[in-house]
Amino acid sequence: MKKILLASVLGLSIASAGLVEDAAKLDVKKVCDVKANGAAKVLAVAKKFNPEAIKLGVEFKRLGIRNKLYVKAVEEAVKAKKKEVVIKYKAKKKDKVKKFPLDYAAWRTCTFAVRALQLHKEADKTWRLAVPGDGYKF
Amino acid sequence: MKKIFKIATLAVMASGIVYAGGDLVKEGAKIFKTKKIGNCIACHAANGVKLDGPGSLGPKLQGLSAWPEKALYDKVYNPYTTNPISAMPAFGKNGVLDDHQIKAVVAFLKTIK
Amino acid sequence: MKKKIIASLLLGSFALLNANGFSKQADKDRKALQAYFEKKFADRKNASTYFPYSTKDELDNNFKWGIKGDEFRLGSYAFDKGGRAQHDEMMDMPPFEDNIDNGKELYEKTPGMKKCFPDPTIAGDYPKYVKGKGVVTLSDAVVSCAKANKLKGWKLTKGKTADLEAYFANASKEKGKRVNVVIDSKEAAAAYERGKKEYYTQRGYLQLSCATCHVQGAGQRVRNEKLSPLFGHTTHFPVYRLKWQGLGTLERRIKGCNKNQGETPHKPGSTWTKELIYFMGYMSNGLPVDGPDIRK
Repeated sequence: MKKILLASVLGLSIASAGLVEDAAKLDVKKVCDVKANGAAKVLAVAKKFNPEAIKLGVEFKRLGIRNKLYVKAVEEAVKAKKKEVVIKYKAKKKDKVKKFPLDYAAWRTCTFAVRALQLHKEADKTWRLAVPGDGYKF
Repeated sequence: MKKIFKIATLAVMASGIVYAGGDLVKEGAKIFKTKKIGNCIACHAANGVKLDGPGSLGPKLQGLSAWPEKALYDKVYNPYTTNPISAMPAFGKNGVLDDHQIKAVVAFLKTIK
Repeated sequence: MKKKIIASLLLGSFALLNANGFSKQADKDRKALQAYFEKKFADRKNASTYFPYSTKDELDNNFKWGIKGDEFRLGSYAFDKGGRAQHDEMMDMPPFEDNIDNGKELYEKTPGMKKCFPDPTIAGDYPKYVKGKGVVTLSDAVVSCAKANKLKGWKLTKGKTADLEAYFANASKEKGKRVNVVIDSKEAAAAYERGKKEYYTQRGYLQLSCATCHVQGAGQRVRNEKLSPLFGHTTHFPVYRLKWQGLGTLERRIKGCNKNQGETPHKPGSTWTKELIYFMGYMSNGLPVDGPDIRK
């Protein structure tokens, strides 16, 4: 039983490392370009990487709206063939609604998902530069 | 004369023809000063621009009218060229401002002497 | 002058007391951090290095220079003259006096609380690393105690917990206690290192680390607000924040800061938050417990 557990944990962490590495290879400007790729393809990128960002605790959130909600709203709009996304969210215990053009929301959700993972990897290499007595010279 | 001018202006506005230059600068100024959009004022003062309590995390912007537009665009899109722990965010690369919004900011920055 | 000598001797002796093998790196880090801030805020002459974009007017007229040791417990009010004046005025009639009184009542009347905390002057001893459990912050310890006694409504961020912490902090302050976070095992040292890494890691769409503002950025301004330094940060909690119009714990403040970086904030009870607080607490070791306090 222990062996199976160990194997699955190892498998999962390899899968994690895999998604971060996949994201790291991407040119976020190209991959999240809605004009070039269409909203559906760009959404697929967001759907692929955002769950991993959530798992690693690095999901982006802007002005009360976490990226998970952007993904959901873009998905709904693409399915319903609408040109506008409607995001329902809670801020300061109040129910709120925000609308975005589909292209804008799709670009953002894709960028947020990819960059969260890329930053997670980049920061791993650069954080010591800020530590006084370590990488930070003063 | 004034009346004719007013009617003409209204007609232009109603037809949707807009002087892209002037409006883009206005849009860029708004992005610069608004907390929930670009919020550049959080860190930057700007020469010749009246700002209410600009921050000091970044330099006072000046002489930007002489910068090529591409250089300004690239800086706002992703400033992490020489210093990986710079305090200035990558507004374009990290999904804060889209291509149009950055162009608007650049139009505004180009007015800073 | 005498006070300053005594203070630095005390700080030094705390460093020695804690200097077991496991805390060696943390002590080194703390010393380097203190040295950095004391250099940064030493003299107007160095301003072009550390405050390259501050205005001449504020450097000449609104900064107090020569900040050392214990003074850092005041946060940005140590060097922000205008802020300090406002702060001192409010401290004439602190808005948290009711919170302290309520905290005292909670301490005396809540079932099990006195047993969990026989000595109320322990604010500076948290967070602790408990073998088998991990980091335990003061808020953790309070909430766990309440839960163990089957009590509801104790949060990690505000309310009764914050009031009780106000009582503990005040009692600790009155007794002249100092921050004394301990690292005495391999596991504790590892937790410290994780907290340290998270502190210096850039995050969110703004790609800011905690250090961007509170190490490199300390003393510089976001809009009109001078950023406070990491050294001394945890000494003055729980804090009555004017923005909240109420009292909040370290966990409450950190969640807000984390959100400001542009990411979905970590939960107050998460290992991430606890280990971050462990690191931050250690960075204020030896400084006086100075809570509760007022901030914007």
